[in-house]
Amino acid sequence: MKKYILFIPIFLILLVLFFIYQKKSNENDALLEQIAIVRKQIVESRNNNAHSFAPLDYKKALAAYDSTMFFWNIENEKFFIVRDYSLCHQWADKAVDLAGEASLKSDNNLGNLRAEFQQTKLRVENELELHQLFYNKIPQPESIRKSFTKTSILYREALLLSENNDHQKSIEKLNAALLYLLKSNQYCHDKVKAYFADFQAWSNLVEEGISNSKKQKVTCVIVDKFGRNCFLYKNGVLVKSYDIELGENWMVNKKYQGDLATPEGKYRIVDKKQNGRTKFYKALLIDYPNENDKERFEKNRLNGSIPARKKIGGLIELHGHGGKGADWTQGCVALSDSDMDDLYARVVIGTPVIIVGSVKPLNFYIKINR
Amino acid sequence: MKKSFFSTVVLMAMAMLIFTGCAKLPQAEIDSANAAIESTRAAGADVYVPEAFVALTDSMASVMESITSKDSKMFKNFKQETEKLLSIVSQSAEVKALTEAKVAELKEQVDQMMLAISGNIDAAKALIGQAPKGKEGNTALLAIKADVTAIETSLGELKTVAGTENYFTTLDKAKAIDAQITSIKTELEEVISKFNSRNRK
Repeated sequence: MKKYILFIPIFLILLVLFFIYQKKSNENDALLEQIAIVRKQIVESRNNNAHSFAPLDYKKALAAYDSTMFFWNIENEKFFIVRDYSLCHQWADKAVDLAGEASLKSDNNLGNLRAEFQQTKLRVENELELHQLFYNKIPQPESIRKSFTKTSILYREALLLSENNDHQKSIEKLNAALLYLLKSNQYCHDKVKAYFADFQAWSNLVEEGISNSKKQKVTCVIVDKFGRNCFLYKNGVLVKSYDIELGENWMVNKKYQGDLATPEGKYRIVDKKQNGRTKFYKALLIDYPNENDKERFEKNRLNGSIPARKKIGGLIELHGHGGKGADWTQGCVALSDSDMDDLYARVVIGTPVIIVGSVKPLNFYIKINR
Repeated sequence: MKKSFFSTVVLMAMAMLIFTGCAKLPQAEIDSANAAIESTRAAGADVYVPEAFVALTDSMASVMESITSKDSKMFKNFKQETEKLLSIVSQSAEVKALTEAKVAELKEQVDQMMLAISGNIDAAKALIGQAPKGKEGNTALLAIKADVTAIETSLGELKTVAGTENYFTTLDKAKAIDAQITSIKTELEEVISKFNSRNRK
């Protein structure tokens, strides 16, 4: 009997150990469930693109998960009685919180990136529009033109990246495009600003032409090089306007023969050509070079701003075959053949033709304050 | 008699502990599964087939959790986990094959796109060659010639980066260049057609 009594405490100890083991085992199972939840939360935050849009927070969540596993392993290596999973639970809770934060931050950052993308895109599009509508007709060196092509490629690439949700790279591309674009637009802007330095003189010529048309009750033609328009005034009143095309080097006052520039000043129609007398359908020859042009030419030749062998040139006309969508003449003013028919019928030999850089001030064209 | 009965019970308990409690971790399987996953990552699975890759790493994490949990128990049996690890190895091979197929598909698309760009550049150059020979025509086309040169430079840059960065990025670049040269070609065709048409009345 005594022998059996000895087994009672052993049995009780084993029973206690069994219950402790059972308790620890249950704790372990609970931890397993919690860790599975952590992992799901991390996968969810990854599916929410947290690895891309909140990478630091996502990495923190992963590190917390790794810490949970690390401490879990450490506890499991201990004898079951002394195992304590509280630190593992703390890390697991932290990992869940961090994964949730990463998801939220990802949403937030994605929203910010989208807004930044839209803002930058709008800026690029404004500059592109400005270039295409306004600066595209300005003669540009090859380097500037190439910059613009590079801009267009970067812009297209940015849109494709954005479609694939890669907003960060997309913004980088847009900013690179913006740099090229600002450079080429600044070049054009400076050139235009310098060109418009003569605006007051042009304005005076136009006012004088319209005023004379009114006083003398005659027709007057005004050519606006920058606006690509030819205006017809009758008795001081605007009756018609036509689209025009010029020469490649239209943005200077003509200096000599072959410079592809259109002269600026006050001229008259000296000949009306049609029926095979011109290869440009119909033509109105003006009296370039006039006395002012000759004087300017001599002055330029003397000061060496034009080569000594150059001639002043002539045969500047308003003629047909326009409507090509490019500046292609040798310095003449080209109208479409139908417009030429109309203008030809409304003018006579002697009709004044005033050619100016622009009838409108630069501010009219550029709304953007640089 | 009673003594031998207790001895038998103790021996049986010890034998159970030896045979079940001391089941070893499937370390070799864990290592080969990790190696297989690393191999798919090296192939670019995380970039080209991210969903499949995430599923794979998630399965691995789940198995490791289960192993850790079982490792804490007195009576261990890793049979299920071992099977899952073997399955991960074979899944990794599938994901790797999927990645390689995707890379090959993208590479093919990039190559095709580069061929198309080269073709469009040649076509644009030919169009410039067909343009009106007089000064008038050449003047209008000078600017477009510069655009074509810029595209050629971009194509050269694209050929340099192809293969060094991920194919999605390269393909986007190629698409952007192709769209640009296509629009230049259209612009050229329009300009030439306007120059060639003389009967405008």
